[in-house]
Amino acid sequence: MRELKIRGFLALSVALTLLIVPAQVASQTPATIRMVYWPGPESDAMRKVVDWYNANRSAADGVKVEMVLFSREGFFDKEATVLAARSPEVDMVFTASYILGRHAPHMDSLEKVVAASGEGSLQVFLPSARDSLSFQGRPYAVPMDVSNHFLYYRSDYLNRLLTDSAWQRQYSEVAQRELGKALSPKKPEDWSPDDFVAAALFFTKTINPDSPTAFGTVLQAKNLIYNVMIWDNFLYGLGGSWFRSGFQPALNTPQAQKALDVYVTIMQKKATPAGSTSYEYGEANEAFRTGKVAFMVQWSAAFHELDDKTKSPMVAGNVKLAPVPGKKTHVHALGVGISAYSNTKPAVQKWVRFLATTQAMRMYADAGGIPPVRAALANPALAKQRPEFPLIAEHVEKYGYVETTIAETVPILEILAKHLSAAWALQVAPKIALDQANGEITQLLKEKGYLK
Amino acid sequence: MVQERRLGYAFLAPLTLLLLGLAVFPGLYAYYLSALDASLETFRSPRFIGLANYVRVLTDREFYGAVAFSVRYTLIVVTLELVLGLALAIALNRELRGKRFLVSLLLLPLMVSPVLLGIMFRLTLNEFIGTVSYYLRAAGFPGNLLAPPYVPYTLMTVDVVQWTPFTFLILYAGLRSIPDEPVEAAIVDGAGGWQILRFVVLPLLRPLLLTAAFLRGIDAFKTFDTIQILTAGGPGSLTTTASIYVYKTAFLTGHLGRANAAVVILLLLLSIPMSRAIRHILRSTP
Repeated sequence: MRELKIRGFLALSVALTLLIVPAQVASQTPATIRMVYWPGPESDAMRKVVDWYNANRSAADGVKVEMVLFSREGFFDKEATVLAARSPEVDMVFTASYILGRHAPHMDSLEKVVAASGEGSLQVFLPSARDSLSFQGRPYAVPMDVSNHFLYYRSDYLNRLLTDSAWQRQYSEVAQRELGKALSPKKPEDWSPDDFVAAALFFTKTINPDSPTAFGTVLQAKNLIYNVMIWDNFLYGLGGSWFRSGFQPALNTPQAQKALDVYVTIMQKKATPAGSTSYEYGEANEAFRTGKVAFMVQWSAAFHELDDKTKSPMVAGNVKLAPVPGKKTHVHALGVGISAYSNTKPAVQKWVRFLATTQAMRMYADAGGIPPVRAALANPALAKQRPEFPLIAEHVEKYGYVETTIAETVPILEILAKHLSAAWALQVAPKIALDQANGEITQLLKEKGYLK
Repeated sequence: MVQERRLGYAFLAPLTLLLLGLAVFPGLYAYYLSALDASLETFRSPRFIGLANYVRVLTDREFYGAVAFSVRYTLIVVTLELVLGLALAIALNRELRGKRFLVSLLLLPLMVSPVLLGIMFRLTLNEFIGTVSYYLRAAGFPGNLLAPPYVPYTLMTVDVVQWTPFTFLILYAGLRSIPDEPVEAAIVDGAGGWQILRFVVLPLLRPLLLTAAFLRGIDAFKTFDTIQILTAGGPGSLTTTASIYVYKTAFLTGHLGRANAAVVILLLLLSIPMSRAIRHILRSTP
């Protein structure tokens, strides 16, 4: 009997051990969350933050982060397909301001996930970047990388223009002769769109044979939504916008006409290379890098390579940044938010709260990211390597605007790219292009219920 | 007997299932989506809207512009590729030193992916770093080949560069298979080079010419990658092909239903010339 009891006790112990130990182990195993990212400098930077978190915080938080990289080409189409299938395979969605409206119905708002203020809250981020990842007034993603535009200019030429009286006389003559306007040179920081055009003509060899550059500027005029974002700066800088009140399109306004005239005049006067109609980011950089262009409006990401003596020996050291003429800059952010179909939401929320800290964002900036966090971008040690970072923070804060984040943002950009690129290429009269764009956007917004 | 038949079905089953999964189902699904107000956001709960998508596509000027550009593009590139392919095949259909090397060289563009070729042309035509642009400028050409009015012809040239080797390959194989007797008989009858080509070689090559034209025609009409890389269909809609129209409708403006309606309309439009072409090819094949 006693032997039977011992045997029973042993069997019970073994059974309990077999039951309890795996449960204990399981409770200690961190929950794995899968975060989608696109390959490139952004994912390289995020990888460092993830590695640090997994090494130092994973055990305490019970969370392990895994990155899933989709290829960059057609990235958002692929991600949209995963979301449309309501797949729980992805816990964190990689999104951007211009696509957020499409993603938001598949995401959880961060309103109650992050803290209300201080560290762990979205107050850590610059306001326009925060707005650029909000949909219908609610935040949906943590802004990880911010993009904006600058006026890139050759300081050697523009400084000379401000000091050389012969150049100044010539500048005024060119402005009067070509534009019928009495203009005199100003600091690039104070340029209006008119000054931008006048300077472009002055620095064009066919107009001013004494110009040190072949072209005043280089426009990115390919039929591409990102090129519309650059043109938008002139529209907003001249007091225009995409919408009047209540989503009524405002592309047929005098401001839009004037903004379009900036490009059309530059194209007509050949103050930009003839191939500009097929140019985007890379081609504009190439043109600037060869030293044949005096200035251009370009994405903030370009400074790092244009001011690098090994990559751009002909211009590095003479590249300076100023606000886009009109002092408005389009702002969009890339960010990460929570998939509504995730099965590990408590774990994902912990990771999101970690990302919304200055510590995480500093780490991200040190690893090459451009987080819209003043404390990270204005860090003096980092500013030595990336002098544009404090300027990004300043410009995004002072001049940043977000066109909209509704689900129709990309379709509107696409309509604008189609019609504006035709006008930029001088294929269609500016007024016709704007009227057609306005009409198509109106029809789109009516179909989607934004307008009656 | 019954067992044999069963075995036959069993062998057929994998391929049939593959065909059903990869061709029949997506085809039927396209018809289904074309009647829905489907977008990426409403993909799981779209509304049935009947023929509204078809009406919308058929009243869209841009759709007709895209189809017209695709037709023009196809006609020009296929004609050029056939003529150049045939000329190359005739030129190389003789004993030549270094012929193998020449043929390998000719086939190179065929092995480059269209996207890569697009990027290569983007670089070579760039007016600051491109070699082609450099020599054009040196020769006094003032414009840029990627700007209007030259851009449609530049795109066609890229297609011709890439796909002429394909027609060359088919026609060269055809020329090699032509028996010597008819040609020798024509020579004996006093026919000249042009007459031999016109009355002997071309009739014998006809099935292959039609096949090459048919295959290239289908492919050229669907062109997407190189044009998307070089111009993205612009400026404006100047170089928008039917495929780019469908892509932009589906993924940029987000109308999956409308894009599928456009696909169905294109299929219907193309089915008439395609069925005639197939009949013609089958009739002219011995």
